[in-house]
Amino acid sequence: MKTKILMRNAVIWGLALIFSAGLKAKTLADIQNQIREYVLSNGMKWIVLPRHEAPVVSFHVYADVGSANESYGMTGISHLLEHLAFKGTTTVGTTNYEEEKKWLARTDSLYALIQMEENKFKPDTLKIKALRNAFDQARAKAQEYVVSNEFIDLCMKEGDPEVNAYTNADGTHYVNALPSNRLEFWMALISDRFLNPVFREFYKERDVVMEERRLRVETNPIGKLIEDFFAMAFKAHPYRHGTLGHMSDLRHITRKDAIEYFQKYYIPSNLTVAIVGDVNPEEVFRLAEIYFARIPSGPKPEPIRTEEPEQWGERRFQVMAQSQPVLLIGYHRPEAKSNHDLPLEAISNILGQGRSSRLYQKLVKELKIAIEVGSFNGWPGSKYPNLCAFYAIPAKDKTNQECLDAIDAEIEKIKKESVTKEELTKFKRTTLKSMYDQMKNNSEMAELLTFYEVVHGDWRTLFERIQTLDALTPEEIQKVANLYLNKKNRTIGEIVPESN
Amino acid sequence: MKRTHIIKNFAFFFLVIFGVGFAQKNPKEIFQYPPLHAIQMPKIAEAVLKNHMRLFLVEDPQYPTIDIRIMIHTGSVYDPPEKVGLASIAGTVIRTGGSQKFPGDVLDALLETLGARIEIEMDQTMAMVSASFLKEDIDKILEILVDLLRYPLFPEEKIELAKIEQRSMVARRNDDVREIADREFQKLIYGKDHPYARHTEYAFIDAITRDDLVQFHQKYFQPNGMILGIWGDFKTQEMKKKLAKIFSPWPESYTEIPRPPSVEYAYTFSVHYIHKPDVNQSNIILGHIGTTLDNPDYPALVVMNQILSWDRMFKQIRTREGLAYSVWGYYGAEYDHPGVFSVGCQTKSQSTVKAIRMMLEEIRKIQNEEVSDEELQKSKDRYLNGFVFKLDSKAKIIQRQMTYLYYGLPPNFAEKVKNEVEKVTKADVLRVARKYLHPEHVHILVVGREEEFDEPLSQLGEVHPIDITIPQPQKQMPPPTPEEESQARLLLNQMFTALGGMDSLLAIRNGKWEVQITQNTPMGEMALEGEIWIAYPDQMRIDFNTSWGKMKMLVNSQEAWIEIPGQESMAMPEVQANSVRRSLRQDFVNLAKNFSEWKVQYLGPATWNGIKGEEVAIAKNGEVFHLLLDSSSKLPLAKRYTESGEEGPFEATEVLSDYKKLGGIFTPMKSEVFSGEKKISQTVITQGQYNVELDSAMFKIK
Repeated sequence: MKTKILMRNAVIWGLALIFSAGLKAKTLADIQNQIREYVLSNGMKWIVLPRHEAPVVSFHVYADVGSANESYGMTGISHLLEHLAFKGTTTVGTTNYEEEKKWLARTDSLYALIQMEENKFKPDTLKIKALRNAFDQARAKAQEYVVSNEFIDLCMKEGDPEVNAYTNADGTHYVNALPSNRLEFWMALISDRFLNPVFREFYKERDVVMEERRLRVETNPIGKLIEDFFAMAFKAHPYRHGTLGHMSDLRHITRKDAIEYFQKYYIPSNLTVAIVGDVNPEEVFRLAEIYFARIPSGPKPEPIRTEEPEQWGERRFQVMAQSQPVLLIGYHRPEAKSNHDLPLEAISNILGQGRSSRLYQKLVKELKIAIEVGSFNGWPGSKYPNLCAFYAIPAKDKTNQECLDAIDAEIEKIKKESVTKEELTKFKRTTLKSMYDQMKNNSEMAELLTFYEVVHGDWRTLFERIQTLDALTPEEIQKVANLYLNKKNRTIGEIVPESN
Repeated sequence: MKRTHIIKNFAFFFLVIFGVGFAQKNPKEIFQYPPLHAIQMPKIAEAVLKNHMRLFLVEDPQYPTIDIRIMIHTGSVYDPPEKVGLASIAGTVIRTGGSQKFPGDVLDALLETLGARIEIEMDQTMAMVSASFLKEDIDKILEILVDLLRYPLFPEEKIELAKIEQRSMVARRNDDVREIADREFQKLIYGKDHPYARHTEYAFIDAITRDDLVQFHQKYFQPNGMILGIWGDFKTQEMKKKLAKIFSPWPESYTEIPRPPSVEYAYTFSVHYIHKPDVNQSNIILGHIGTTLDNPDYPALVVMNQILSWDRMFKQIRTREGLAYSVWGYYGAEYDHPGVFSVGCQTKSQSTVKAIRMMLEEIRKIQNEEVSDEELQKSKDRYLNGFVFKLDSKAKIIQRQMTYLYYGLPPNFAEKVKNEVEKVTKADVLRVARKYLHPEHVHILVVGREEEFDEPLSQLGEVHPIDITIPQPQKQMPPPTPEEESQARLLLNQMFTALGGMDSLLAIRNGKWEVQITQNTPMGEMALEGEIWIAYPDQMRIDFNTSWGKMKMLVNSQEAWIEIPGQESMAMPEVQANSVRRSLRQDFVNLAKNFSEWKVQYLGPATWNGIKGEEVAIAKNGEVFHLLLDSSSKLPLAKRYTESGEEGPFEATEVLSDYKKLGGIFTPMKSEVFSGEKKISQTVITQGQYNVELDSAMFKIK
């Protein structure tokens, strides 16, 4: 009797695997086979996935430079540069670049003089006042030649609903979406942007970035928690200083700094482009040659040499704010390329994603001490060793400590007993479903392709992941949990309510 | 290498070599675009079941997945006013509690093992059930869906979890400064108790019962009026049959489609301020009511909106001045009720008033002169060239059709608007700017730290502070035993007798008292003389004699106003109004009138502030207060309740003494209010009468 049941189960299990594997292989392999890639002579990499469902196309340019590349005194510059990339070029955004150029140069020299005077032991305030007047006048003169926001106007005029960009610790991303007959327009505009950028309206944009910092961090308790968290968890690696940069650094970054940073990092071999939508790959590559091959290649920037050393003990801190409590925990883990990446994703999913995850069952349903609890990886970035994070939003009148104790208990359990086969199946199937969801969306797919190409080294790993997924075992997951989820290896941050 | 491959490669490189000599275009050149590939409009199949449920189906074989959306005519606007939050909790528990066949936790595990999702979203005037899954699970998901919709379990445990979540969200609602601004601004536009602006409170959450949820479900979750849309990898005919098989057995029942509440709006200018001491940046929103989508001027408003928001607000306030990162202007048009027109930004405290003036200036500017040809053309181009994105997936197309049907818009509404936008002229933009924008009658809301503002906010107008203190939950009374309940009722009946008899109390319609009130303030003792009138059950007027004349305060259950001599009346701060309303609710006359509605509990002998007596707890709708009764006379010696104060809620002990007979009723002529041992205030009645001649006009607010 027993053997019959075992056999039957094995057959069903096997069939299910084959069936689902067959299903998967058919559709994902199809998509993979449609992708074309191309490298320009200057090293710029292009990836194209044709999708003819609708006459639209999404573009994603990934510049391999983020806040992790920044050094002291320059924090926030990658993000500022992202803003400046919308200010136009020698052609776009100006009525007369030759004249404007002179006034921009004058503005910069006056600014340098102001900074020099301000740095003196006894600054001459009258001199600074005079310099500032001249500076403002020079700015106003330069501004006379400016066609403000022309770059974005051009995109929007052609129907772009998505023109935008964002910066994180690893990279800077520039996105567009256009009706598909605007392909050459995009080529012309974006190549000009990276070939001939002009960082006009620099000082005003610096002000905007400072307002953004106030908005996202200084007036936002969770923003404060996150910024302090990185600083605490990373004592050496530049993941420690967050994307928005320190206010004092922002106040001192000059246009010259931005230009130098751009010239160093925005070389074609550091740019990867993914295009997904109603396009013909051959046509894309033809135009890429025409428009982007002219960007001169440059020396590959020196890689980041600092590595985060092992922690000597648990780190713990508080942010006091007018807010209810919030708990955040981060364990050090290797970069995305590591073969521990997938097991860590499985751990996060099984512990902290979804209502049937272990933490949700325990903290929300059973103990009723949290209204939200979760886990995620790749924080703040994925290119370098990063953090596997857990967070909890305590229920009313419950505490961070209670949540921490409950999370600890579940982590110990997974280290001792690993996960069940059912939980692994759940992870695999959820991952598969979300891959399909992402692929349906041109912009998301374009982002995914650049991410896997740059961070994992090859866009094909996006598809290979599904195979690796199948091979995942509870034993491997247990091994990885014991390797990383230790108290010595973690940082804990809390928002602690501060009364009026 | 295959032959075709070589040829393809060669052709490619030939093109490239040839192309190298090709001149690159300047991005500002006029491009000759090849014609846009046609949008392949999918065939949307429709069906109506016998029970009037409507189906929309679209095949989308690209990926092996299926999505379902079900729209149901209900929403949070239909919550009874004393149970705001009911619909939201119902929506949550239908999903988390699961159904008879698939109870909550079982359902969670089952769905996640399949990699599937089913969620219920409860909006203001729509409930949306959504399901997303791999195609091979279609039968299981349909089985789950119909069971969930028809037979939700509503287990007490999941109701409690939903309430914990809601209470926690209430506790957190002032943590994010943007959330505060958005929420409070909606209340300024629609009215703080209006269904489109109100929000839940602890008292409402406590008041919601399982019966309420069951009735809600019965009333609104009926097939009549439901619209189900499905898209993904299936064959239409087969899926139609499946859906009919699953949903047709649901018997039809006549459910009236609820009509969303109307909005009354009077244009007015006001300045409101919320003090947030921990920020260095102000959140600013200003605006007034918007319009509905079916307004024939909507296409012109779309164009005007784009220019105002991008060319004017963004370009000036962010790009030119560097004052803000996020700045917007938005003329809101909703499907079924007027939206909100708002303009706003976040800027450092030191540029607050400057930013407000600039935003108002931009609104006036677009009213004073026509926009430029260039602005008009760019705005129209942006809309028209971007139109293709509205139709770039079958999911978007089918959901748009469902939404238009749901709200009673014609199926080609998007096309119609597009055609109209194409025809909009500069004169049209000017006309709608003048007709629909009212910069002299905006509500201005600032959340920030006024000590650091560039100018005092009062430069813009009279400033009304808003108190966002969260009304605290009343203490939960442990359920009384039958003995405690009957002993309390006995004692309280004795109390009513001692006060003058139940019949006399019930006969009281109003009262008038002359009083002397002393308050202990940080500046010393403040004494005031005045008159108080109460028209039971819920209207109070207080007239104070001050050195500049009579100051009047009027409170009823809806409004509370203060009239200072020689000035316009102003709204009474919430904290004060709530305190007055509390005292009215707990007044002995009202207590007598509503005695049967109160839950009561005898708590035994007690000593408060040195006074000995018998303690009784009294509760209704989550509000609890205590009385200390004299052991022999049964007269009330003191009251204890949660009072709202300037610094937040505190427990007040009100000591009552010097009982005298006034018109047959024993009335305490002296009342002293303590916070702990500290005396806060004292009221002495010098004269008083019941059932006097009262002109109802004296309770009217000017």
